[in-house]
Amino acid sequence: MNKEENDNYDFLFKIILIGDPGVGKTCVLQRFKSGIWIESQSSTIGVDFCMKSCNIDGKIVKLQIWDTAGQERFRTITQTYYRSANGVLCAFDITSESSFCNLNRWMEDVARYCAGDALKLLIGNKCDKVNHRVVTEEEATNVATNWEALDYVETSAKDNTNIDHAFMKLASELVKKHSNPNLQQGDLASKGFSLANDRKSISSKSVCC
Amino acid sequence: KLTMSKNAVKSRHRSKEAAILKALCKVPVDVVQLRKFAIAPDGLLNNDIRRQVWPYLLNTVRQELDKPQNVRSHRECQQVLLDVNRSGKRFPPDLPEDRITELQDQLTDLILSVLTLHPELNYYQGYHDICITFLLACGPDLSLLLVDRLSTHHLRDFMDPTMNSTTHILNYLIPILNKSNPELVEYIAKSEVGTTFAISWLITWYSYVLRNQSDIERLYDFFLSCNPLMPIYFAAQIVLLNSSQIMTGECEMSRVYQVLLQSARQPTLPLEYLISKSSDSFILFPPSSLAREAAQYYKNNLAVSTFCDYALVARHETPDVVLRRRGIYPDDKLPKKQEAPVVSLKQSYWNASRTAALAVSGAVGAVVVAASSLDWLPDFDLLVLP
Repeated sequence: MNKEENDNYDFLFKIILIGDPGVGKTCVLQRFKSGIWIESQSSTIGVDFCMKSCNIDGKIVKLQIWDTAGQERFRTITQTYYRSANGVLCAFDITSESSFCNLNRWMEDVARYCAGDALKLLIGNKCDKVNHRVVTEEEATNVATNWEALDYVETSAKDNTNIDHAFMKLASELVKKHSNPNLQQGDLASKGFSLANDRKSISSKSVCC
Repeated sequence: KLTMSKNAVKSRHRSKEAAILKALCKVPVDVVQLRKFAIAPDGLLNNDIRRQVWPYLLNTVRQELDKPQNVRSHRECQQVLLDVNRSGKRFPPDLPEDRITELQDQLTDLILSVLTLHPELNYYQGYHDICITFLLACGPDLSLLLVDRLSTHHLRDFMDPTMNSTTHILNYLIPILNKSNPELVEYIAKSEVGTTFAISWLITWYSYVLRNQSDIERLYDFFLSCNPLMPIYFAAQIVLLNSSQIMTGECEMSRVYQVLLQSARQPTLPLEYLISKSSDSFILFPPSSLAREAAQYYKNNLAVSTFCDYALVARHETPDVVLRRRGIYPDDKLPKKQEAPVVSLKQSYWNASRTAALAVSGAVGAVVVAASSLDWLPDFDLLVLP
């Protein structure tokens, strides 16, 4: 871990990245984190993790992103990472009908295991493959609206379309939410701090201090 | 001086190779000796030797398998293809593209063949990583025999319908660490990092995290010669090796997770050192001793899990033979046609490994001894070995 990642920050948020196998979760994350795209990104086994700091309205925001394996059988393991997540990025592949249909199951998991106030964003990846599109923007937007997600964003990790935008959207809404002093008390209470004895990593520094 | 030492290594390898070939020529073949060679520094040296020795380590010599038909109609075919198509990084970088495509085709068939032969086995992401290692070292035909046997033994628990058994095995990490560094265990517990960081190590036998195929093959020499729980002992040694880095800095989950996750990915991982330390710790703290500790711990803290946890260890010593006898798998999921010969083969396999002189590979009987002193165990019949 380099120094920059460890040092000062104004906000720290934990984000989980979920969705069916092969929709491009790790590619999206790699593009955001390192600006690169890998043609044959190997399947994620278990739960990988990375951090990225960004600047939002002059505030340094550190994002902890948990990249999960998509296969059904890993869910019991990845679910344990839901409960302390501040934000959820749920991804599907606009060229894969099944990955879109399975969003229901992912959303159910989020409802069951995430904190009620976690912010959600729906991502339709591989939008460079326009000729293979099977899910329309309208359908996906409807799903996002019904799910009470912040937004639906179409991305392409390959072309670097909207990748930063998706993460920034989620991060800036998290900042907005956690900057509002009226909400902070509620946040703390709703999280219940079931996980930790002396945990101070999640949510903003200003809350803790 | 460097050339000298290089020559010394070469000559050591030459004499080891000669000794391995000699053990292979003995009648009957000296499997105990082969296991020793596979565990000892530098393992089985090269793939020519591996192709000859691995079948003995897995007791698949003179076995034949009828290649199943229509494997591509298996229900997991799509998931397998998805993982295989993304496995390019695992192949040597100098291979031409059409050769990689050919290998990936063979890989898909290999995986689906084993799954078709054993309907009770469930595919998991990461299984394909293990299969690549065999395919590259042994080619498609021999790999089918080896992976078939491996999947019904060493990897059996990872291929359950759920990952509950895998999670249980991961939990053994903590008692092993505790024997060597209780302070570290306290730190890890405080950070609430859990054991998930090691799941990819365990279920891929480290092929997900090691960069060199030759390192992976060398590690497989070791694992194939040992008790199926050895990969978790190996995980413990990686963690112990990095203990100071783990404990330097804020005791916070994500930082600790990150350090642990990266600890197996270091390009300079001292494999031989870790192998030797893992063997030592296995002998010092065999699974039976940990099971008792874990069981004791659970008994005091969480009564429900005592039985499951202990049963898991017993299962490792007597793989699904016990489960079949106990009827844990529904009848319709068993490959009926082959049942009789399969069982007898497995028995001879486990008998062979039980007579191995090496403590590392042969400490199988110990669990039974430990079990008889556990008075709380509700179902004794489970522990009777075939």
